[in-house]
Amino acid sequence: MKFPIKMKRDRGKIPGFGLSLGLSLSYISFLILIPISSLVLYAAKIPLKEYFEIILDERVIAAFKISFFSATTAALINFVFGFIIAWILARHNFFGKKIVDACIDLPFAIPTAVAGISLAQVFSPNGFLGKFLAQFNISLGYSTAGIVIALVFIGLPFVVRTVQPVIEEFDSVVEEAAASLGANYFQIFFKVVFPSVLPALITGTAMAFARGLGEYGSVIFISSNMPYVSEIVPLLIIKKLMQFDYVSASAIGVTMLMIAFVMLLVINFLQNKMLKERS
Amino acid sequence: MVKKRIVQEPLWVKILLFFISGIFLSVFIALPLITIFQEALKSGIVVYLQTFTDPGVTSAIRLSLLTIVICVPINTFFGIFIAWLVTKYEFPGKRILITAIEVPFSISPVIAGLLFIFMFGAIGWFGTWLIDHGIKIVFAFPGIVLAVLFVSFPFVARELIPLMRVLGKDDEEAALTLGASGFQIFWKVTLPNIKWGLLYGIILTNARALGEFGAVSVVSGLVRGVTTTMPLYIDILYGEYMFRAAFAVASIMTFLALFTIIAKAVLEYFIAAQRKSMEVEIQL
Amino acid sequence: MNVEVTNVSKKFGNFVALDNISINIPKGDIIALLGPSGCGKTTLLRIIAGLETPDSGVIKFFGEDLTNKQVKDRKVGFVFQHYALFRHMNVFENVAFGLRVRPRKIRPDKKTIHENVMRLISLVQLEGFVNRFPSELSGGQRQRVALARALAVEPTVLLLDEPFGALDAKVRKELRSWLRRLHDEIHVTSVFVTHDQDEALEVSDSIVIVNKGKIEQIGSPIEVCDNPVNPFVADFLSDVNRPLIKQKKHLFETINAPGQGI
Repeated sequence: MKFPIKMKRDRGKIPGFGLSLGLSLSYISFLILIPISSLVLYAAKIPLKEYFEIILDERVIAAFKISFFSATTAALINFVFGFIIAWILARHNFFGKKIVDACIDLPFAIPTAVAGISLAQVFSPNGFLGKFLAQFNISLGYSTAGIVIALVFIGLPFVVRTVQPVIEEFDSVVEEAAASLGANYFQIFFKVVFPSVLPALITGTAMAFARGLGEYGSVIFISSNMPYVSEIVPLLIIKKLMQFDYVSASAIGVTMLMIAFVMLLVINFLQNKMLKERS
Repeated sequence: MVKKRIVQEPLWVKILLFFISGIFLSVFIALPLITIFQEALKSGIVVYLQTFTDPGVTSAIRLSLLTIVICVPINTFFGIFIAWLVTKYEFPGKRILITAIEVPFSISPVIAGLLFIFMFGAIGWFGTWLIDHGIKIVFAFPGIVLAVLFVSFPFVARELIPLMRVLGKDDEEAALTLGASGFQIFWKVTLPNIKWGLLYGIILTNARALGEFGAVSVVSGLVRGVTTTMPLYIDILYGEYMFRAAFAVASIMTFLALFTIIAKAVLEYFIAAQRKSMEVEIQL
Repeated sequence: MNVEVTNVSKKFGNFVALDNISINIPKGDIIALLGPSGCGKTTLLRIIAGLETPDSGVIKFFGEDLTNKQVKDRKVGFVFQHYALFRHMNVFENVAFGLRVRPRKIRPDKKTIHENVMRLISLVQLEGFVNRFPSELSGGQRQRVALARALAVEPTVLLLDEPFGALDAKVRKELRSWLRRLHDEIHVTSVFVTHDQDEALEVSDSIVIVNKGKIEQIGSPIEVCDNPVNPFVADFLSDVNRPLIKQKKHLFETINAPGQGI
């Protein structure tokens, strides 16, 4: 007998509730809640006027603009290319597919500092691609291009890994039905397939964006890190810390924390929506 | 393997998509990977191997190993308890708890480091007390451990929760009616069922703990040989224009990353096989 | 009376799963809890097992109040709908589990465990499958392993949740007559949940018909078929297999023949 309400049964009879609740809550409090509140409470002591002076400082604003612009650009690039790669992996067999598939996870597995120095090397004037770009007088030094490159690398697996299973599970009968109704390939793709993959694609892109906003390790090696030009917010926080300017560091930190929480809620919302649509 | 579909894209679209993917993955995955080894081995294998006799490098490796030896078991232990808690019981606030698990992933590593400065640093809550008692947490090894615990915390719980949800509570309840204690249920029934997923979570925890850079660089204070883990030492070497040495250290970390993605792929295969056999079982 | 359920109620949120249910189950009988999906019969079974706590009411085995006793202290054998066999253990290990997890003081020695397990395995006719894993067994074989595993702890009450629900029609028929015969052999007080009228009529000594958390009728298979107390019962039993009841009637007459008694 399937009993839908069964899930709602109170607590459950398996032993260990008290122990696991106690341990879990203590650990989460110690590791997450108390540290977050110590930052928030420190920042809360800053008068509102001073807080806005710090946040609205030209250099801080510039850093936020650079961070947002780079994270958005990189997320959009991954929106397009991440989808194409996920599509190929989900729909086609080819020689070496297992290796390519595993390599998509490389940005997850490789330390950000390692990714940073190797991307910097690839795009440096004597690096493999840098040399090539230099012929066209393109240099990454004085723009956000370097930041975007690092963030594309970091964000790629988020998009591919979110979209790939959805494309795999898409029922080919639906496409066949559309074909039997006389639709051509592009009509089928844009009217039937793509709309049902889009929620996953948006979710993955949002995750890549959120990750990009906070990314530090891979960016600082490839970016020129110049104030007003290519200085990201996390780097600015570290600079403030090095000058022992704890007030500014906490003010900017709390602002980043708020943005992160908003993104967490947005992503949670998108994921739940996606799950509902799939089931 | 992908099953054959009747509706296929036109050949030219297929070729175009393969071409675009190929270029993109070459630039962003293959080239950086090749570059690391190329730069590390530029001056030959002898010089490459000599790098690892450098005291700075050996102490960085030692410190990184010490960090994972401490952090991975702790996060595994608590990760299992949290997954057990949210999959075996019903209680109010469960959804909030599940969201809280994701917090370390959603905030910038730099902010993660910052949190511990404001908790244990000179200006922090416990700062004065710690200074009075001569205990150093921030800008010392304990700070690194805390930062790494924070950023690598979610992996185990995150892998186990969906898996344990699919497995359900039937096995545990069956063991319970047969008279098993909570401890016996976990060791004899739950653990064998979740071992692949758990290993997967542990491997990801390990990769993140080894590789963490942002959070650790905020709390470490960069005391050479005392608070420089491998990623931080790469940063130092690179900053001092010792590129070959930086890439040599990077190459070891890349080997570990490659090992991680291979292990991940293998474990994913086992987990998928387990799920499939479960589905068959229920249909029978 | 062996198992007494008195005034048991259970709600899930606003949904009333069980509304003031009382049943007495005589020792050695096999009882069917019969009703449509979602009527509360599985919840009742889980409450008897201790896997669920009732909002109110009392459960007694042999006159001992078990309402606040934990599952592991109740000595029930529970056969789950999807068997819940331990995937990583072979047939022997599955059946031995309940004996091996006992505290050292009351745990039988290795030899005794082996003998008990082998006896149960031959009771469920799986002698050739001792070293097989659940994934290497058919549905019916898994069902019998689950039964042997539940019996290994020498339960005072055997509880079966939709014991034949996951099997195909042919195996189901074979297994239920087998289960009836097995029960005649071991005589452990048993309760099983089913939504299949034929199954309830063939296997059980008496039937409890449950609907929307309430008991509609309790009686022997013949009683409930011949004298349904209300339209729901009449309707629910309207398409049962008549010859089966006749056969059953015959069986009952022989069992209840004078001098034989139960």
